[in-house]
Amino acid sequence: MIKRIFFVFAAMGLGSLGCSAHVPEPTENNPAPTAGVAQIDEYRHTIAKSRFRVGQNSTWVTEGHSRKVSGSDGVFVEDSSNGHVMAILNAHSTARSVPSFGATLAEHNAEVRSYFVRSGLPEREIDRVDGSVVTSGTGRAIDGIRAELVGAQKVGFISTIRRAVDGIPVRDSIAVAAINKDGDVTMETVYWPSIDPAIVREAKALSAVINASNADDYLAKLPHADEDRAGEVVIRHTAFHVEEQPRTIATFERMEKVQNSWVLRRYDLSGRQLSWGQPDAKGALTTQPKQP
Amino acid sequence: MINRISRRMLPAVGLLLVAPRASATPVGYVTTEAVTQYNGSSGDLPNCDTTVNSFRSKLVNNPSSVVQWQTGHVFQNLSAYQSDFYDPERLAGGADQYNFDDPNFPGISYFCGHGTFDNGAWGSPTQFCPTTCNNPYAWWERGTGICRIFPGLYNNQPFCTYDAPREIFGWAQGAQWEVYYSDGPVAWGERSSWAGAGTNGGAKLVVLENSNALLPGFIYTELHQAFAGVHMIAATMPTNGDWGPGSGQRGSLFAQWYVDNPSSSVADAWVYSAAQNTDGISCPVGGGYQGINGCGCTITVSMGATRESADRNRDDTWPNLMDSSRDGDGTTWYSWLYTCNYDSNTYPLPFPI
Repeated sequence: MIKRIFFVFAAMGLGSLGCSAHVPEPTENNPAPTAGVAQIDEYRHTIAKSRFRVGQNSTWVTEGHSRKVSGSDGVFVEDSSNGHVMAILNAHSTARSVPSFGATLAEHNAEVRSYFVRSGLPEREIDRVDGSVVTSGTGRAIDGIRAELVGAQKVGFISTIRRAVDGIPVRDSIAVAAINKDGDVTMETVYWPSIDPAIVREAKALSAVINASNADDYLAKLPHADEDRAGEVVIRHTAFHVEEQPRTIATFERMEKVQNSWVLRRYDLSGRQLSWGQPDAKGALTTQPKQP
Repeated sequence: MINRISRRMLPAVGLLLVAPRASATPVGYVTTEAVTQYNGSSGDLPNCDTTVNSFRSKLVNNPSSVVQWQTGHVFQNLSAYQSDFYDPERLAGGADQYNFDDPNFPGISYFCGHGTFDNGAWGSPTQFCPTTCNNPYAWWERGTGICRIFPGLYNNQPFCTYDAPREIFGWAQGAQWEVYYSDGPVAWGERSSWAGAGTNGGAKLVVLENSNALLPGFIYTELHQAFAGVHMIAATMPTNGDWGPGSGQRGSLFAQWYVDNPSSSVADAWVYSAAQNTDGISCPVGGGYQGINGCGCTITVSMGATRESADRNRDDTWPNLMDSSRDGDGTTWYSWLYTCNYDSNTYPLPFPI
């Protein structure tokens, strides 16, 4: 009854995907640094800078390393352990139904960029702004197998500012926000930690190797893969929500096909493969015995 | 006043004061099944452990007055079986009532592992639109196809794409197993027999972290048989790329929304937290990441006998999940919330999703 299909983990359309190095756009006011790498400071967002509204009856609570202010509309959280902030509306907040800022995603992206820069996020470290459209909808079955559309609507936009230092993307630094037509922030997350200059120097050295005419010598040192895609040099640091000791690496990462599966592998300057998986040992549990 | 109460009575008085509040807090269970080792049949997925463990850990270890989460079943690698996911009333040998859909552990059931190879662009599609889509590319594809864009593929020219069975697969007892959640023997969350299944379900929310969990344009076809009372199914929906197996972030981020704001919307938590996921690779038309290798979307789906019940469950809060009076009551209507890691206004998905 059930068709037997050969399944492997991969995406056929992936052939057209490629990673490209992201070069920051220097401006007159924010020249790209070219000299030696100085300390890369963190940007720390706060509720004082935020346009998120927690609503009435706000109360402050400290839970472990999180400092929360909660109100009738939502919660704003500041994490003292790593400096990240997060703001989330309550499910029943009326602010969730206020239309989004801007008619297009590009307009929303520009507004979010402006909001964070005015709040103090260093503009020269902005690599790019990516956006998403949130959509809801409803459908109805027509023959027990297929369905027809009854209605769909845009719920809002989300814009994500990505970071780069000296042209090297810092993949895990983000400033994310959704803004409504009243100018209020309805969701935000900021994690923009300081970066060790030694890591930036290592990333630049790695980038020089990858872009050199003899890059094949480096690539030849990497473990065998059945196929691979163009990769890029990036800085990775522990994501804001992972409960472990912060860690930062400079790495060349690329998609590789191994055992019929496409995986993202990472290498250091010597060509050694790096493990990177945001482990969370606190959550590990031994598997349970099965019921008979 | 209190002086008139004997010391022996004080504990009882205390109970009277706190017991009603304590009993009003619903209890929910987090059941996880994760397959990380595939013995060479496919690549290993070490971060599947990471994503389910961090999800469960954050819910269970962060008590709130909203839901009291406890650990349900934990089956990893060789202990995740095919029968864990099949309904015994629909398929002999199915045993989901003791495992993924256990009525004694009602709550959230989360799977992470490999999934379906066919992402809707099997081989080299040649049926460019506008045209009639009635000639599937592969023998396992079925029905009438639809025209849609695969962002960045073939200069964004729409082409015919067809539905194919959706599955999860693992490795246990010396062989690879598959479970086709799109094709009948799966029925999650059943508490009444309207779905032709039993009354022995416990899943209120099912999370599927697997390759090509859903295909845009075929969501109803692929999920309506699995809905048997479950409020919501949360998954990824790649559009030209794949779910990123290198990411262990998704479960942690999803749970972080609950930890930071237990009064948040469950669907918002799944969908909006995608924008905070820094794993994955870029999408050719811009954007990318969000735990997707390429272009893709993050989605929740709810179903009901009426539009009201489908829409209502799409808006579930965390305690709503544990409210059995809101259990799914049919599959005539469905309701969704999604976001993609690129501009889905410029590169639209087919409707209905």
